[in-house]
Amino acid sequence: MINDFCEFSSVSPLRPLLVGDAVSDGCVAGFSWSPPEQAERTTHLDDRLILSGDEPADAAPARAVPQTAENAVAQGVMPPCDLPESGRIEARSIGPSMPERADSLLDLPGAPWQPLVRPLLAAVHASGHRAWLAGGAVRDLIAGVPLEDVNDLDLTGTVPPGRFTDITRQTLRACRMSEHRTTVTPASLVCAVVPPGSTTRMIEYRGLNLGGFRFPIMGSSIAEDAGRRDFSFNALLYDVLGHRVLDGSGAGLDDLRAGPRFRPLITSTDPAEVALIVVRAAKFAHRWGISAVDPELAAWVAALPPGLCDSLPDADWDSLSRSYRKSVSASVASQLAFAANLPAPGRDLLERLIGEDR
Amino acid sequence: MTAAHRPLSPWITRWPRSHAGPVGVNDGDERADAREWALFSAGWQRTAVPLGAAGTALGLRHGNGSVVVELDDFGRPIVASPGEVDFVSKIEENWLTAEGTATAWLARLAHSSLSLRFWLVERWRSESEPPDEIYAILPWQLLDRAVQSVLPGLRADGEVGELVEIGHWLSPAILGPPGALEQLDHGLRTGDTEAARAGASALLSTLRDMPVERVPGRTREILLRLVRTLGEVDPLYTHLSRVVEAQLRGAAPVRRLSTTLDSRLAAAASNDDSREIVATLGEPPHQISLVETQAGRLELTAQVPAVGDTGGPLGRLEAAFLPVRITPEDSGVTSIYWVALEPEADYLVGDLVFLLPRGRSALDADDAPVGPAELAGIAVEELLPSLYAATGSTVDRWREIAGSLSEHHPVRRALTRYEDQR
Repeated sequence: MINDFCEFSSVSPLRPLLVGDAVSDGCVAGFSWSPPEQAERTTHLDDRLILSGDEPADAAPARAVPQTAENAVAQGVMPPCDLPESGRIEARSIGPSMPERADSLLDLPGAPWQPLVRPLLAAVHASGHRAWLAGGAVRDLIAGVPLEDVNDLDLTGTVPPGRFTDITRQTLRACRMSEHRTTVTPASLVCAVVPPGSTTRMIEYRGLNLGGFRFPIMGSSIAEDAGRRDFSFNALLYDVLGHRVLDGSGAGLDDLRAGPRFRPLITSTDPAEVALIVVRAAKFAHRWGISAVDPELAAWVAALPPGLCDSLPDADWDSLSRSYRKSVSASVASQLAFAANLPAPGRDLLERLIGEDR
Repeated sequence: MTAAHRPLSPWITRWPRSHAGPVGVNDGDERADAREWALFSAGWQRTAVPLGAAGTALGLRHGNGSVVVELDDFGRPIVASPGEVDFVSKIEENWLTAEGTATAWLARLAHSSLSLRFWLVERWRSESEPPDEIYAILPWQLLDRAVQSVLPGLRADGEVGELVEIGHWLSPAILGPPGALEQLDHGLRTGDTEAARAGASALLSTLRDMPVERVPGRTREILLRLVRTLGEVDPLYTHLSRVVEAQLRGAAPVRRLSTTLDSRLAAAASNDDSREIVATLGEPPHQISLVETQAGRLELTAQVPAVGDTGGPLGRLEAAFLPVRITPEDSGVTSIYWVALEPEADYLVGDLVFLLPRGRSALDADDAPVGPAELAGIAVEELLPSLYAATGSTVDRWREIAGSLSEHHPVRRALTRYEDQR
């Protein structure tokens, strides 16, 4: 498949390496990252190029990522062109003032991200990469939540973690924000910007999700990324340059407008990951005052293994318990009512978490 | 959370690791702050955890045998020798009661890893009021080198030196100057005069408010050179650079553009001869004239030197707003009035007329004027009082400046709202 170069070249003449491109050693399968050995900062030199055939490796091979696709055969698809036309929706068709609302969110006076997010997105795009708003901010933007109630800004994109952090740090310097810490979590590849004296993250970035390897990896496909998120309404992205909503699952926008409707997307069978989805379902249900359980969610929960609680190691249970306590603050009666509406594996899990909390 | 021995860093990992692959942070909850976990409320002791060829790491061991290793911002174990771990342990046990002893111990950590020093000072500062001497273990040489890189770039035809990233490493001691210095460096390095000027203005402002006693003498000397240079490079900085220089030298303050006002004084002196109090702050060309009326109304005229057409490394400030801070004594909450300055002969001038808050208030106009970009993050509601306080010609200047800005800029939106409301 050939890239949509018309769209691409309107942003930057540079083209980064993408999944699917052919390099001299093989076909690009994704990108990973290893912490710097000595340095106090991370750069693109810590990014790792993952090729088809690296699947059995325990750790990302020490293979650097070229900064452009100059010497590669550019066979990969620059997102969002991996989505069908129906997954690239003009924001104004969703709501006549949606673009202005998105602009206002970015420029929200007093918001922690306000000084940084526009120059950061511009710097990412100038490098040839792409980045979009992701997660709760997009959901709230479309759902009409007051902008002042948007807590944080999540981004996703095509930039590997080391390069992203490098770009971020240079942007922070330009914005007089270089005293903010930049972090990268090795196991999740999440990059974060943290204000001084705080542990509350101002911006989080995670490259487009991808799996199939024994180490964390990111890819170049919005559709594949959606398949690794929790619910369809949380898999929506917002392109602030083109003012488009990108619906990676193809169902996110409809599900959000339907109430929302809880449609789990995750395909992982890892007990800790699926247990977290149950907790997140409870979080959103209580936040929005929903006690009924959608058939899609009920069917997914019913298919979970019966001994889900017991299969979680202590550390995973501790983490899950902290996550539940942090994200659910409804009355115990409400919590139990929602749990009672879930099929057994999910009900057992929530009841045990609620019991701990009482 | 009172246990002495608990993490310094917000990130930990359990040790030994249960699986191969990347280090897991905080049992998978990277947003959490391990320092706040109930897990660490009691029963932990410091330990140096062997890392193989990499030496040992800063860790904690529980009485039940559990071990955690503290991690840096990239999930790497924070390397610390057994001796350094022992020092950390003693400091944790004593820092609330035995400052002098702990300060002496800290000298032994002067060459330990940056992360260890940073998180130690950060936690100490968050739990106590540590002695100023402890801040000496932070990497001040980064600031020294960054200043020395910037200085040549402020000379005509000069170039900045090596790129030095100070980052967050000094933030437990001083917040503001490193970020402003890096912005100045970035602007000079990339030819972005707007960023360079914003950085220079913020650098002087933040140095003025900085706790000088935490800054080592050598760094103060190097900063003094930069402050003097900025005062020479641009007349807009002459006043503030003198204020900062006096502060850094611990010398007697120069004539400040600040004073204390009392809305009740004028009312108390109610007779025909003293219906107004007139004062002039500063000295030409930087001056603020104040007329305070019996009704508690303040008329303020600001005057700063006009900038020539030379451009120079900081470029020319095409549109300027002077921040005037008013802080009522009873609330302590500062309001900022932005005075839009217009060229008049050799000066930039602007006026404000507003009612003083009831009681005593501090007025401060020492800061250098800034460009509209510095107002981009301010809410329209916070700009409106400045417009309502502006006199006719100053409002005209707002209009001129707003006309050159995007329709989303708060200055433009505030002006639109102001005109709609009038």
